[in-house]
Amino acid sequence: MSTLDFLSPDRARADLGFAPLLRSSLERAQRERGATFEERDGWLVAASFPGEAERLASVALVDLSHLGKVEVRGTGEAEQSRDVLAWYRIRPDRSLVLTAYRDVFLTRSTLARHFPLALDQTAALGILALVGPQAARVLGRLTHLCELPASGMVSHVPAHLLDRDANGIWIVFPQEYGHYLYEVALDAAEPLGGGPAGADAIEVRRQ
Amino acid sequence: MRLPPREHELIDRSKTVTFTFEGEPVRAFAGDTIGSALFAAGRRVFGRSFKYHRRRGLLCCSGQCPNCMMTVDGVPNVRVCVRPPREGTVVKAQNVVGSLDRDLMAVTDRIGGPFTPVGFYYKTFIRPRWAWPYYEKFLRNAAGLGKLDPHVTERRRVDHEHAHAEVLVVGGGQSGLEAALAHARAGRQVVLIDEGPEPGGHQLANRERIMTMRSLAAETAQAGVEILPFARAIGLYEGNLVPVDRGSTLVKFRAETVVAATGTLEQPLVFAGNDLPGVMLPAGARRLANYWSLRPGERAVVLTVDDRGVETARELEAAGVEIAEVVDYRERVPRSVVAKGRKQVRSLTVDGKRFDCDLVVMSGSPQPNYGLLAHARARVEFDPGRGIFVPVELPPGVEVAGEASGDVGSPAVPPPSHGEGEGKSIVCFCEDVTTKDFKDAVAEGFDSIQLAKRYTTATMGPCQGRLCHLNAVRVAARETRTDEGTIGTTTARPPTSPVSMGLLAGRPHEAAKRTSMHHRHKDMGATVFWTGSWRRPHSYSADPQAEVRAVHESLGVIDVSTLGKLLVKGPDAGAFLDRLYPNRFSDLKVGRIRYGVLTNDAGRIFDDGTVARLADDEFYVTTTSTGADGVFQWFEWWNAVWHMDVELANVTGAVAAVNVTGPNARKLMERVFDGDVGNEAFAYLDAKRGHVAGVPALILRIGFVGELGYELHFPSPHGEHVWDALFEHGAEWNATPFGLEPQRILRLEKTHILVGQDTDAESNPLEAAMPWIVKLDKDDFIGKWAIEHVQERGLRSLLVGFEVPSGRMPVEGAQVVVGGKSAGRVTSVRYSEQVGKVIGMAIVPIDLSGEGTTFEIRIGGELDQAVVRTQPFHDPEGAKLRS
Amino acid sequence: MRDIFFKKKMWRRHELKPRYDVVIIGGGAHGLATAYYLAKNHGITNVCVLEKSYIGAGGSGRNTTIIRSNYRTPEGAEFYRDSVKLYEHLAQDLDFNLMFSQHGHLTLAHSDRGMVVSAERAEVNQLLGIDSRVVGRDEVMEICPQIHLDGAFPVYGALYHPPGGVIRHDAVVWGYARGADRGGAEIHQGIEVTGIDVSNGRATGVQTSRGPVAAGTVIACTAGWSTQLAAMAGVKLPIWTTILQACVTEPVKPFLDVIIVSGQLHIYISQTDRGEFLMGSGVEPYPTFSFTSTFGFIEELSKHMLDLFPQLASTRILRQWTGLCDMTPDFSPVMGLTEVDGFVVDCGWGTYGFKATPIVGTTLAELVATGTTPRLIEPFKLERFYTDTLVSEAAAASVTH
Repeated sequence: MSTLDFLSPDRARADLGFAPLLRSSLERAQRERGATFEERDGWLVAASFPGEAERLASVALVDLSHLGKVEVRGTGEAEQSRDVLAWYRIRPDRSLVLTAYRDVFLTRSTLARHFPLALDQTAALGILALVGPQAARVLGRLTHLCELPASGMVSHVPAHLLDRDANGIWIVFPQEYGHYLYEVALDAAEPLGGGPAGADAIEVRRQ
Repeated sequence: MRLPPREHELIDRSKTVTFTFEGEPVRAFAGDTIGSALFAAGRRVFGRSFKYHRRRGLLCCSGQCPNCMMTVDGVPNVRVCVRPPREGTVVKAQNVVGSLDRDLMAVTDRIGGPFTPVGFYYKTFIRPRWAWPYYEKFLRNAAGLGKLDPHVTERRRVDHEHAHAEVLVVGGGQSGLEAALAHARAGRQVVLIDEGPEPGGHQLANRERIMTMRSLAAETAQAGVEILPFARAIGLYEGNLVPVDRGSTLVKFRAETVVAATGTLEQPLVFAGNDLPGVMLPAGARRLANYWSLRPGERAVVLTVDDRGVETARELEAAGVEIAEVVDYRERVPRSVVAKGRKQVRSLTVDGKRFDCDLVVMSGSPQPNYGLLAHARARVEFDPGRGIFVPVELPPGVEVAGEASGDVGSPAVPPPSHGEGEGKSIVCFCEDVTTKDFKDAVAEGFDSIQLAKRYTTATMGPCQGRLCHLNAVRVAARETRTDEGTIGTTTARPPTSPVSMGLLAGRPHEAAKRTSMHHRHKDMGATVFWTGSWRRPHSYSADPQAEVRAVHESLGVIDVSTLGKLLVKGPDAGAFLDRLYPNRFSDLKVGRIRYGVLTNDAGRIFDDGTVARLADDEFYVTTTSTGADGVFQWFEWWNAVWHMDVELANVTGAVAAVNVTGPNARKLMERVFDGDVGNEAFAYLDAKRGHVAGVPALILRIGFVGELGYELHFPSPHGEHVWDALFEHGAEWNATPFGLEPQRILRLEKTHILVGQDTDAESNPLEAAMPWIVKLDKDDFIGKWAIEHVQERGLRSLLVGFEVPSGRMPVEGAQVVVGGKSAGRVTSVRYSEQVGKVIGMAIVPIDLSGEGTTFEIRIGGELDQAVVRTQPFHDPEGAKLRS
Repeated sequence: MRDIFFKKKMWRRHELKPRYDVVIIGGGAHGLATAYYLAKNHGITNVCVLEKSYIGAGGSGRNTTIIRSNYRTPEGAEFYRDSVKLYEHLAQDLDFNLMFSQHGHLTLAHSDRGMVVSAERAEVNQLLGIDSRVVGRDEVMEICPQIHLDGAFPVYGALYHPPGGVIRHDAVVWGYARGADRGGAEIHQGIEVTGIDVSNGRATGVQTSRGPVAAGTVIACTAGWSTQLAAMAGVKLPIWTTILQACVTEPVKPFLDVIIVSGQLHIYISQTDRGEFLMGSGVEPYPTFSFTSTFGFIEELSKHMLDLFPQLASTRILRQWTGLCDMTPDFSPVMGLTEVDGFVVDCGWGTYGFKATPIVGTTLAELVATGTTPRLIEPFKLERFYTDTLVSEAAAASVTH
C-alpha cells in the first residue's frame, strides 16, 4: 500500500463489508434535473436525461468526471499506451493524462516508472464536456480562452480546456467548484437550446 | 409635420405602434423613435435643462446630447431620439415641477441668473451652520434628472460573451466599411461594429448617398467581414479589449488591431439663445427629414463652418423647408448672432440683420471623435488652422480611419462665441454653463482648463464633453488670453457613452466551493453560510449547545474538507519545512504529527495547521480553509527562490476530511476502520493509513476540539458514502453532526487559537503565547530575525484565556481598558455549558497577563472584571485527548 | 454671500522668490491646509506651495469624498475623530461652503467575522467618544430602506457611524487655497520639483523646473509620488504605490442618503448633492504609477452593487478614473520628521488621506512651528518601521472607505 493511496479512489476495497460508491461533484445537480443513474466501475454515473436528444442539436452538457486523471511531473519517456484518452501538456514539465477509470491504476503505475512523479488527480478534478454546434458559443460565455488546449480562468475558476473534436470541448476543473460551474454553464447554454445530457449520449474516444 | 412617403425613409408606414406620453396615447410607425413620433405629433419641447430649467428641443437626434432625456417604462434618463417605442411603452417627462410645457422651476432661469452664477453654492448658506441640512435637501431635490424606482428588484437578462477578431473596426460609416474591406481583402479576419440598425453612418441621412452606402456595406459583407449592427464600443482598454454593448449582450472583443472609424462629433456654435428648441445640429435636422420624413421647420437659417451645413440646407429644401439664409463662415465670420424666441426659436439676427425663422441649423467645427484613441493613450493636439483637436501618435495595434483622424477638409474656425449680452450663450448644454460663467471662473482664478471645468462643471454632465469640450476650451482660451493649444484638453476616459450597470453586471453567479458532503448537510437541515469562497454548515439546529454536548458526551461528526492540504515530497522536504516554519519538522518521526504556525518575514502569524510525516521524504501539511491557496503560493514562491529538491502539490480538493470526535469515537472507528485503533497502536498525534468504510484513508489523531478524535482524510468522491457509513454505524452512540459554531465553542474551551480571529496582522508566536513553536536554534527560517527582535525588546502584550465572574458576556472585539484607554481586546468569547462560565481569549498588556490577574473589559458600555486563565478551561491536562 | 456679486480672485499668481521659510511640495488638500494653518495658528507666512500641475490635481481631486473616523486602532480613530471635528466647522472657518453632507455611513457585515470586526471598531470608537455602533439587519433596513439584504452575500448587520458623510473635494482644495493665499502663502502652479538639496544631513532647499529655491523647512505632501520625492532627499520609505479606481453615474433624483460600504463585496457607494452615484472598490493588487482604468473594475463593481441595490440596473456609468495610492505595511500614514533635518514627510495615505486633511494641516503646522512632534501624530512617525511599533489598520482601512 502506497503512502499516497488516500488520494486514489481506485484503491477502495469492496471486500471489507462496505460497498464504496463514487459520486461526481455534479451528481446532485444532475439528479435534480431528472438524470437516470447507473453504477459503473464504482461510480454513480448519470447515464441519460429526458429530452437530451434535442439538446445535442444545440449543445449538450455531459459530465465526464468519472474518467481517470493523472498529473505527470518532470520529463520522461512515455510510450503512449492505448489506454490514454488524452495527454495534455500543460507546460514542458507537467502534463495531465486522462484514461477510462478502469485503466487509471495501471496507467498511473506505468507513468510512475517513467516520470519523477505521477499523482492521481481522479478525485481532484471534474470534467464537463460541451458537445454540439453551439459548444464554442457557450464557451465564449464562460471564458476569454479560445485557442485550445488552454489553461486559465473559466468563470472565475482555474481550469484546463481541451478540444476533443466530435466529443466536444472538455472543461477540466477543480471538483469543489463543480456544482457552481455546472449551474453557470447550464445558464449560458439553456437560452441557446442546450442542456444536460447523460454519459451515454456520447462515445468517448481517443483522439 | 409628417411629409408624404419619401424614397429611402426608414419608417414603415404599414406598421404602427401606440405608446403613451404623460398618459396620452401617441402613434408611431415602425422605424420611428419615441422622439420622432412625439415630434410628428407636434411636440417641440422635450426636456428642461439641468440648472435653469430652460426649454430644450431635439438637437442631435443621435443620442449624444441631454435634451430629450425622458423616463421610459420607469427607467430615467433615456434619450428618446434614438429609442424605438414598443406597444404600450410608458413615457414621462422628467426633471420638471408641473409639465414640460409649464415647469415651475423655470423661475430659476428668469430671476435665478444673477443669484446663481457659477459656483454660487460655494458662497451661500455657509451660516448659520444648522440651516445647511435644509438648504442641502433643497439642492439635492433640485439636482438629478430622472427618478429611480425604489421597488424594482427584477432586471432583464444580460449575457456576457467573449469574442476575438484579427481586426476590429469600430464605426460602420464609409471609412469604416472601406477599412474593413481593405483588411478583409488582405486576408484578415475582420469584424465591424456599428451603433445603428445598419451600417452607413451619417450618410444614411443623405438621400444622395444612401444607396452607395448600402452597396458598399453589401460588398464588405461579401468580402467576409462580419458586420454587427446595434453594437456600441464602450471603450478601448489595455490589450485591445473593446467591450461592446449590444443591448442584452455585452461582447468583450479582443483584437490584434483596432481601427477607430468613429467619425466626427458635430459641435454647436455658441451664441445667445443657442439652446432654444428649433436650434439643431445638422444630423438632427437631416434625420428628422430623411429618416422619419418630418419637416423640421418651415423657415430655416443655416450657420455653417464647412460643407456639412450647406449640404444640410439642400436636404432641407428637398423636404420643403424654406431656407431664409445660409451663413457660411468660410466667406464671412459674423460678429454677432442672436436667437430669440420663447417656447422655441422665432428669429435669428446675424450682424444686425434679422431673419424670422422657426429652425436654425448650426454646423460648428467637425471635431474628430477621438475618444477611443484617447483611452489607448493617443496624444491629441490642437490644429489652429481648422479649429479642432486631432489625434497624433497612435499606440501599436491601433489605427484610425476617415474623419476621426482629422481628415475633415478645411472648415472655417468659428469664434469662441458671438453676441453675448443678449441672453444666455450656452457652452455646456448638460450643465447649463454659459460664456459668462467661464468669464467669471477665470476672473476668480480658475484659469486652467481643469480648474475651469471643475468650477463651472462644464463637460461633467451626461454628454461628458462630446458636445461642449471644444467650445469650452475655446472660451477658456479667450478668457485667459491664450490659445487652445496652451489651454489643452481634459482627459477622455471610458466609457465613450454612458453604459448601464445592468449591462456591466451580467449574470449574477458567485463562484462557490462546496465539499463532497455539502448536500448531505443540507439534507440534514444545516444552515449554510460563506467562509471565504466555501459554503459551510453553521449548525444543524437552532441549538449549537446541543451539538457541543453531543461531542462532550458521546460522538460528534464534522466535515472539515475545506482545510487546505498540501503534499511536500522529496529529499529536501524536511529541510524545506524547517525554513518555512518557526517549528522544527525535520526531526518529526514517520507516522507522527505536529502542530505548526506559519510566520511571514516580519514574524507575523498568517496561518496554522498540522504537519504529518508520511515517509522520510513525504509530509502532509494542513492549512486553514481560507488560507490554502495563499499558503500553497507561499510555498511555491519560496521554493522558486531556494530551488530545493522538493515537489509540492495542492490536494485540497482531491481529499475530503471528516473529524469524528467524542468519548465514543474509538468505538465507531472499530466498526469502520480496518486497522488497530487501540490507544497504544494508534496514539494521540499518530498518523495511520488504512481503509475507512472500504475507502483508502489517512487518519490523523489530533484534537482541535478537545475530545478523543480522529480526522479521516480520503478521496472526495467517496464523501457521501463515508458520511453515510459513519452515521449508520454511529447511530448506536447517537452520532451527531456538528457545524462551525459548536466547533468554535469546543476549541475555545481548549484555548486553541483561530488564526485571523485570535491573531491579527501584528501577532507573533511569542505574544500569541506559543513560545514552544519557535526553534530559534535553527539556522534560519522565515521571520527568525523579527522574532528574535521581539524576544530582545521583550513582550508587550500576551494572548491569554479569561473568564468573566459576573457571567456577563462581552462582544468579540470588546476593549481591554486601562486608565480609560484601549489597551487590548477580547478576541474570542462564548458561554461554555461544559465549564459553566463565560470564557474567552484576549490580548492584554504583558503586566496584566499572569494567571489570576484581573483586568477590566468594556461590556455593554460599562466596565466589568475579567480574570486571566493561562490553562485550557476543559481537560487542561489533555487526558481526554490521549485516552 | 456677497461674493456672489463680486468676482474676486481666490488666489494670486506670483513670481517665484529665491527663498522661503517653508517650502511645501504638493498643492493638494494636505499641502494647502498646512500652508493655511501655518499662517492662521502660528503666524508663519513666508511659505510657498509648489504644485507641478493644477491645485488638487492628484488624490485631492480624484477621491470619493468620504469623511469618517470609525477606524480600528485607537491611534487612528482619535486622529480621524479630530479631523472630522475640524471638518464640521471648516466651511465657517474658510467662509466657503464645502457641501459637507453628514448623513451617516454604514459598513455592512456579511458574516460572523464581519460582525466581530465591526464590534471591535465600535468598541474602540466608543471609548474615544466617537458615535459608532453595531446595528442589526432590521436597523440597517431602517437606515437604508432601499437596500437589498438577501443577495448572494446576505447582510448580517453593519457598523453605523452617523457623523460619516461626503463633501465636495474640490471645494476643500479651493477653500484652503484661498485661505492660504489670504494668509500670505504663495501658491505656485505648474512648477515641478526636480531635486531636494541636502547638505550635512540637512535639507536646504529644492530644485525646480523654474530654478532653485532655498528653504528653512521642506515638507513633502505628494501622496502617490512620495517615494520619488523622498528619494530626492535620500530618504527611504516602506511604501509601494498602486492605483485606486472610481466611477460616477448619471445624476438621478435623491435615492440614497447614507454612504454604504461592503468589505465583503469590496464596493462602496454614495450619492452626491448633484445626484450622481460615486462608487469605488479596493486598490489594484499590483504596483503601478499608470493611471489606466480597467474594464474589470466597472464590471465587478456593477455586479456586486446590483446585489445590494438592484434598482440601479438601469443607472448608467458616465465616467471612470484612477488615482495613486501610497500604501504602507500597516495601512497607517507616515507623518513627521525624517533622518534628514528640515525634511518633513506626509505620506503613506493609501486610500484614506482626504478625510485627514484638516488634522494633517494643523499637526504639520504645529510640528514645523514648534519643532516637536504633536502627540496625535507620534504613532505615525517613520521610525516606527525600525522599532516594530506598527499601527495596524488592516481591518478598517483595507475596506478602503
